[in-house]
Amino acid sequence: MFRIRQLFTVVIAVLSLVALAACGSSGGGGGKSGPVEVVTHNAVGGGSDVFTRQMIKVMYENKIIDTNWPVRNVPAGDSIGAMSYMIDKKGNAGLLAQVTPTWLATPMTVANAKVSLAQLTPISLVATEPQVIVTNAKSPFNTFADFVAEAKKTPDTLVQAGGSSTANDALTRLVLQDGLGAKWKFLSFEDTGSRITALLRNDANIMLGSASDVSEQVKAGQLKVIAVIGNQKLETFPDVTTTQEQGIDTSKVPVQFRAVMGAPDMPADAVQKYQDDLSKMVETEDWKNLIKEDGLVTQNLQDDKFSAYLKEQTDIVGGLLQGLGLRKDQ
Amino acid sequence: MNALEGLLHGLESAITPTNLLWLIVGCLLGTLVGILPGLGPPATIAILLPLATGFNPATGLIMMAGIYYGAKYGGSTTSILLNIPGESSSVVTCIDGYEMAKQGRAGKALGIAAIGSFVAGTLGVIGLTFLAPLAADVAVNFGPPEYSALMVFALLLVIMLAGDSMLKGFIAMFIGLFLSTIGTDLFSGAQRFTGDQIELAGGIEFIALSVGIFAVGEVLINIEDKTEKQLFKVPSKMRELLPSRQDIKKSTPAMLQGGIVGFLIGILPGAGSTVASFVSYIIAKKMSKTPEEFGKGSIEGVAAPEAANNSETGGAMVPLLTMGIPGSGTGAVLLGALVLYGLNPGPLLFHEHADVVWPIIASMYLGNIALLVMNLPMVPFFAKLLNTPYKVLYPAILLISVVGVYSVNFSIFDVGMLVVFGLLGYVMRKLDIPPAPLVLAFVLGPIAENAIRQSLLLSNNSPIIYLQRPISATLIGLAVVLLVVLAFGRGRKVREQVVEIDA
Repeated sequence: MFRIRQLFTVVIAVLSLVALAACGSSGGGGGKSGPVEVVTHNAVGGGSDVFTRQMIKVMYENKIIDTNWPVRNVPAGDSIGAMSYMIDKKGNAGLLAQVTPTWLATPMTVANAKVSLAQLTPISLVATEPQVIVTNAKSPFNTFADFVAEAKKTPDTLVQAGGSSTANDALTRLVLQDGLGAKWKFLSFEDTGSRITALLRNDANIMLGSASDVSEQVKAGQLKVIAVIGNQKLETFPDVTTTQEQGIDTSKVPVQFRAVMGAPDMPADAVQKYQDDLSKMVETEDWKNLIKEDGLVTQNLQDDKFSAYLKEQTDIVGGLLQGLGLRKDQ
Repeated sequence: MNALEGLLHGLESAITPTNLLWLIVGCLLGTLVGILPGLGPPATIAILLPLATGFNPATGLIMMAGIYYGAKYGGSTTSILLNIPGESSSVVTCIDGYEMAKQGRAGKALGIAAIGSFVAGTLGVIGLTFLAPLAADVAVNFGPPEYSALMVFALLLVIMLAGDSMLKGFIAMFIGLFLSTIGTDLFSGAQRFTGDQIELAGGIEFIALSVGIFAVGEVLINIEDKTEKQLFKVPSKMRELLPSRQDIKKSTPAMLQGGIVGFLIGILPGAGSTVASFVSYIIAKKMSKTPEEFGKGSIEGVAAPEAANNSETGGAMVPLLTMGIPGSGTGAVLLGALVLYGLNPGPLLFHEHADVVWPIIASMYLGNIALLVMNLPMVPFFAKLLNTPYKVLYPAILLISVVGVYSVNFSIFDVGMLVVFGLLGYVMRKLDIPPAPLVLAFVLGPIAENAIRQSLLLSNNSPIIYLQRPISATLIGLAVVLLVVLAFGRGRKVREQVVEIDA
């Protein structure tokens, strides 16, 4: 019997560990303003997860919120799982999500998806993350216009390293190729690290990504930034010209945004409270440092402006997926 | 700052009571989550992030690194005792470790796993300390053609794991490769073999597959024998529970070899500890004086993969600390932690934040010692658990399996997959098809597929690219030699089987 008891001790210890883990990730929260939980579709350490934690840290350290909100990672189904989790908790005043364009695109590519971004409550589009175009520091291209000129001369030989074919950088390539009449190859890699080493090895010529993906390599003199996509310069790379300045139209390019949305039918007073919190957040010094580090541009679009922006992006992304034959929701 | 100087500075600042306390807490937690399948280091570190970001960066990262390699130590425990691989890197340990447990030598297996982990873990950190800049160069130059060649080589090695029948090895490998194609295709975005199940869009969960095939399959097959007899003989004398001096002597070459192989493969992002552990297993088998014992409870067959698995930690830290490129899931979490501390991981980390990086490296030496001291006394306790009658043990294994699989994604669908793969494991045992090639092919499949497709895209579909690059040409050459050895060395057996099937 003694040994059986020992075994049970181990089993119980193991079970309590799991219980602890479950509590940890679902996080009680607590505190004066009631428990708040923020959902992200990334596993821990992913871009969206880190941004969510940074945002909470800024609000907590500036006493805008009085508890350190726990983050819940729901990576299943590339945002579908996270969205289902939100939609199951209709009317919850304490459930937020950090939403990216993946949340727009993924449901469109799944037949009979029961969830869509339209079901969540818009709160604020906090920031946009303009893509930058980078090359190896020794590359002959000094602007994106140089690259395009070369791509026109030798179609389908230059290589862009990127993510999956439905990721933002891949969709951006489609828009640019159409608009510019140039063609180049697209090499998919699962993670940003492999894309960077592909540039360092000269397997690929360019890569599109967020400024934070590459700023350290740029500082170390391994990579250089040849353009910021859009019409707004980045504080992170003040000397780099925008695609607009280089004479390239990028108005139809899907934009990487970072928004906060709430559970379906979130009470209006709760929405108002979060909007106030976020409006305070974007005024803090910590936030300004953060966006400089991460290469973000503050937007803080709320209410109608947010909805209009979302509609525009939905149309752009939907049209691109349709063109790829990946649209399954219609 | 040169490496030795940096290390001494690092040691000086790592040895403070606070740092040591959190190092031990990290190692202990790591060991615990390593024992449990499912809840891995990434999840544990994630849970502790809010707490750890309150620490100063060095302390927090020392603790998190402790969890990372602590889990590697713990991972062998359930593989050996219960045939439950807690992480993908422990799959190979199951092969000989569980056999040893069945023979009443669980204590020796656990002991050699701890000792091998210590020796190789330390080798890996030495590599990280002195070879990091050099190793980073290798990692950068390893592109799609090189990975393709490495995977061809690795898949050939997988077949060698098959045991007696190469044909059955092939069958297992192809099932594994097929299962790995399920999910969203990276290149086209198309859903492959998912049957419109959203749960399958991200592919089959590895833990559900491996725990199902290994642990649940094993339980099912054993339930058929309705004997009341005790499952495992466990010697009662303390001395017989631990590895003898002769055991250690016999395993030393395997440990050292595993340490070197583990570090080398560890520096390649994506290849990781799974590849390291079984490449080192095969090399150990080829180098051993008693290769016939492999697969039937060879102590070297436990020492080599466990060693490789632990020195991989040192290797995996190289791309993370020198380039800011995480080589694994845990690496990604550590990268996130670095960002949250405001330390931008990248090529300049060593220069700009030497005060944080060197204490972490120094703490890894201390952590390895702490883990050896922590783990060895636990060995007799764990080994004696196997005296439990199977009526208690089997439900416990199933319970741990279900809880472990559920805790990965908190998904009931995954538990369903566990049942499916449990049945598959049962059928495979009935037909005498070895499970290890299936599970390893499942891990290698996506790496191989992506690398091959990336290479062909670069070369406009010309396979010459594999021979144009020196590293990949060398690996392809090795694979050809291996294939020739396989074909001629075992030709007769294969032919006999073919004849049997024809008849």
